[in-house]
Amino acid sequence: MIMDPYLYILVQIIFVIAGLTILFLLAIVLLRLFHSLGEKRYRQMTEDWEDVFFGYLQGELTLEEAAAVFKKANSYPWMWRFLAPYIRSLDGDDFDQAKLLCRQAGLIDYYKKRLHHRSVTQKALAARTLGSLRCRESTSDLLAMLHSKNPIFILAAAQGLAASGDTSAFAQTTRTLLNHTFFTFEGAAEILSRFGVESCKAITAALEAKTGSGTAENPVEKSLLDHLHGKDSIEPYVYYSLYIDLLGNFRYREALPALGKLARFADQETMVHILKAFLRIGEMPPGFDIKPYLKHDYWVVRNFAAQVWKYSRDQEALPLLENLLSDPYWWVRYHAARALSEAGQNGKTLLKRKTTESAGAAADISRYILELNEVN
Amino acid sequence: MEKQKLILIAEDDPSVNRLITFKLGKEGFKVRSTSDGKEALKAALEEDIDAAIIDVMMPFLDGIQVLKRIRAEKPQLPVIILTVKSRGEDIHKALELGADQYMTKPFQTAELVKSLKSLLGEL
Repeated sequence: MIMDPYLYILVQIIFVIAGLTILFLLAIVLLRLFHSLGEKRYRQMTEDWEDVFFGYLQGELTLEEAAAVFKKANSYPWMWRFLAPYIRSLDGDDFDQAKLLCRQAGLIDYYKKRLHHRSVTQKALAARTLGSLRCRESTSDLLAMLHSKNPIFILAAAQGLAASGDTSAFAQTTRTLLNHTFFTFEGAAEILSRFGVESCKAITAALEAKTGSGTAENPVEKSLLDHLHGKDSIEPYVYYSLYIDLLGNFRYREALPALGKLARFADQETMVHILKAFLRIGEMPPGFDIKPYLKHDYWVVRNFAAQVWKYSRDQEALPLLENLLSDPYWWVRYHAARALSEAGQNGKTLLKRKTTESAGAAADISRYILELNEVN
Repeated sequence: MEKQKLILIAEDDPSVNRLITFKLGKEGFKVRSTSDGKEALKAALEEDIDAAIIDVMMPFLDGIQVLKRIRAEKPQLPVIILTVKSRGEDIHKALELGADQYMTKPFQTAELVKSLKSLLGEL
């Protein structure tokens, strides 16, 4: 039987597509099977590892005994997958013991070699892993990675350095993150916060040196001071904003005097961050005069000044808060009204008077806050 | 000799559960460990628990429901809620229902122990 040539070609195409589809489905099934088998094996291993790991931490097993069990599995990625949640949650002696186990089992050496792997993913994972293990001997390799052109490496190196808590890398990591447009300010702040509260000491020392109330003594503090002096391409106010946000994030009270001094000559952007830091720390420097900021030209400064007034409860500022009830910006009016509602009887009386004596924005916001207080 | 305090852990993630159990044991606490909400509620109401650490996301009964029922019967029991950072509404709800503290995962076990000791008046 002679088939029509076009029909013949069509049938061939259908067979090829069907064949490829079957192969594709078979590949998925096989991959799923291998994955399930792998996961089953991993679960079986981790049941043993749990007992070994906690037995070791509790002193029931020696380091060598525990490391031998982990080494037997011959899979460092699995070893890290198991240990990572514990490493990230442990601290003090427990962390040190766990890290020792990782070293004895060969995990740290494995990932140090992986830092020089061809694969981008492997290198990035190695950077993060060594950071989580606080392997400061890898700091120089990670600092070199910061100079990469590949943003994946820069990010992994920054995350690794931050997780390691090695503040000697803090200044350089900051500059790298701020220099690259693919990192947002908030993203950079989030990564840098992982350096921990130790970074706040260096930041505070740099701010104290800048405001003339201290000196920058070690290389980190000196580098941070250089940033604040504008000795590179990044505007100083960006560094100020970032460093002050970190102080606020850690509620670092020790920085309050330096922040108070800095406020005297801060630009408006920096001032916003200083006031935000006061809000997060939950207090202001003793004797700090909030009044000038309640009449600042920049509405965002007025907004935060109204919010932090409560930490001074300066009664002389009440007339300024009253003026803010007529501010062009709703949020400023809102926070000024809130401050007055928390200012005792004087403040409440003032708000009540506003609802009857005046019309418009001041009356509206006063009424709103008074009603809100009644509901609560 | 002071009685060892009994702490209820309600956490369905086995590794987190084990870690908290280990840490609290090391700090001298006795631990009653559970991995679902129903079991946790039963233990909280029927046993002489001194404090509870409850994960929000648990099978059968979530942590918020467990907390609600604990508060109805044992309003004074110190409770720490564990949740993930992104679930702000859980934190809000838990605090409204009377959770004493919350911790977002991942957390440092030392911080958890410090919070617990503070609630038990041991700090």
